[in-house]
Amino acid sequence: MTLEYHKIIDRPIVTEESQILRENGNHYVFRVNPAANKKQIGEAIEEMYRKEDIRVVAVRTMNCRGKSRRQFGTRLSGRRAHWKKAIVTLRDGDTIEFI
Amino acid sequence: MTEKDNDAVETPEQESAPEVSEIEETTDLDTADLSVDAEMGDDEFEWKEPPVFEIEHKEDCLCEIKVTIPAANIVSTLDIIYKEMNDGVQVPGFRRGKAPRKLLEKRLGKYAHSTAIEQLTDAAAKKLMRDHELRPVSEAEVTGLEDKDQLDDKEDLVYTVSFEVAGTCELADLSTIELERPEYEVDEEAVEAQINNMRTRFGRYEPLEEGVAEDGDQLVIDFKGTVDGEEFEGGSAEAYPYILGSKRFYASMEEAMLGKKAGDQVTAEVTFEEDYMSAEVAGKTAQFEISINEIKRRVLPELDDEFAKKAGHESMEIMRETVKKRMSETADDQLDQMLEEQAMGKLVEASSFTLPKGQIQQFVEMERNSIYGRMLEQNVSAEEMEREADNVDEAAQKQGLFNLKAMYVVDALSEQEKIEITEEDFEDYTRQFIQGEDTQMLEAYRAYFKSDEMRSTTAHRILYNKAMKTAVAKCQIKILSEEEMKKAEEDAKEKEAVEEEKEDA
Repeated sequence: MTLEYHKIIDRPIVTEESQILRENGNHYVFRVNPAANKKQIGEAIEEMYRKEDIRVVAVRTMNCRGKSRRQFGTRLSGRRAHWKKAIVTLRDGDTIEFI
Repeated sequence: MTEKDNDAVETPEQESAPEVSEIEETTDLDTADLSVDAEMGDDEFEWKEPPVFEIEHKEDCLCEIKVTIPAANIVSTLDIIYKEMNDGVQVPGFRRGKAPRKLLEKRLGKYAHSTAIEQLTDAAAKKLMRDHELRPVSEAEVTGLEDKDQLDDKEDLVYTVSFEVAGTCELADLSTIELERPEYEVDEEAVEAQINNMRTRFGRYEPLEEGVAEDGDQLVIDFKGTVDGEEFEGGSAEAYPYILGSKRFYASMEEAMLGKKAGDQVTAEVTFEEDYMSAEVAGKTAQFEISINEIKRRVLPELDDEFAKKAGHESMEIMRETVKKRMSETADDQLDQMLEEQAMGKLVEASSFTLPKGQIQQFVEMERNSIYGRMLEQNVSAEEMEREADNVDEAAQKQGLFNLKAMYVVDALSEQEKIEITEEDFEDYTRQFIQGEDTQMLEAYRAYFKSDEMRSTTAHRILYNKAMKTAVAKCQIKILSEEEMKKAEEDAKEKEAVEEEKEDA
């Protein structure tokens, strides 16, 4: 299955936690397409930031369950989409910016 | 995960943003917490580098100032704003106060920058007023900041402010001002008249044994009025006290009673007017049968100490003195006030002013409103007001300008003579409105004059009175005798006439 990079990478996750990861280990956190695998994610990131000429060293992924959401008490319940989180480690010295 | 190393350093990366830069779902920021600017009271603004003012005075008190705020201040102000902002804003994904500055800049940059501009310009304006002692009287007009919400922290912030400053007043030398005060001495006749007046008030009616009814007598009468032989409502009464000469009844009735004795019966014929209030008898002729029961004559008290005591004085002599004193005091007060008005008129004429246009307009407008207000009170019709519009305009123009000048004169006077308002002045002013020792009223008035909305007006009035008193004391006062006064009045009239002729020509 071939996917365009913008179909693989949904968006960066900007939180305190992701900030700590970025500052202490050059790890970048993204929300990605659950269908994508680590290899595809790594390639997509490199492709996306081609201008910065970065190299992805490692990709770790995890599937996250969407939170359940209720409306009108218990009568309507559902959940948000399951999604995949990817922690991408870049080569030392490489940086990308998305804030 | 490296959660252990959570001593986050808040220095964001320096590279340019890539094209894809969506941030984690943005819910609304905690806007309730955006009360940052309320806490940023900049009483003491710290300037990294002082701002530069280039002041240019233009005619008519217009002041144009080019303000240059050095870039260093922009950086420091933004630092403070972001720091304070961070404490108050919750960004999703971050605990309060933990969001990196870069993120804040992206999200709240516009707000931060406009706050910074506001703070900087505010502080600059304060500094400008303090350092250069300018007294603006109009709203400042700022150019160069229009829709500027992005600050460049490497470039100085430059803009121009223009406003009108208070005018100046070159006060004329008080000793050169001549005031005319008419000579006044209490007229002995006026005193007697006043006392006689009181005497009448203390007079009593006493029954007259013999003699005929005269003007001023009180008659006790029964009367019966008939129209075509029939009585009508309100046409008769018994034991009615009537004062002859009071003209409450028709003249024919008074005539009939005049010169008659007690016990006499008289008749009178009265023709009611067409528009008489009672429609029943309007326009008809009535016959009145009047019987005079009693004649009472007013007996005036003797001008002796007894009368004086009744009127609240110890003796007749003291009473005369008091009346005289009171009369001369009232006259003095009036003359003093006249002198003050005269002094103000002459001061305004003799002093030179530079006045800001905006303020003149403001005062003229105020005067116009008060003229129309007075007209409304007097129930002047709308058409008349329209007809009078030109006159009102002219009067307002004149009086408004005068008021403004008078204000400047008072200011200049109080500065020159070092007049200040003290608490006692307030107290004295308040006491003027109270008669006797009415503590409750006194309290009420005191509270009223010192209330927020009245305080400045009251202070202004007190200052005016004080200043004018001082001014009058320093002016030359010429006492005019009656003839001289008359002559002066005639001269003034002539002058006016000549001027009017000139205007007409």
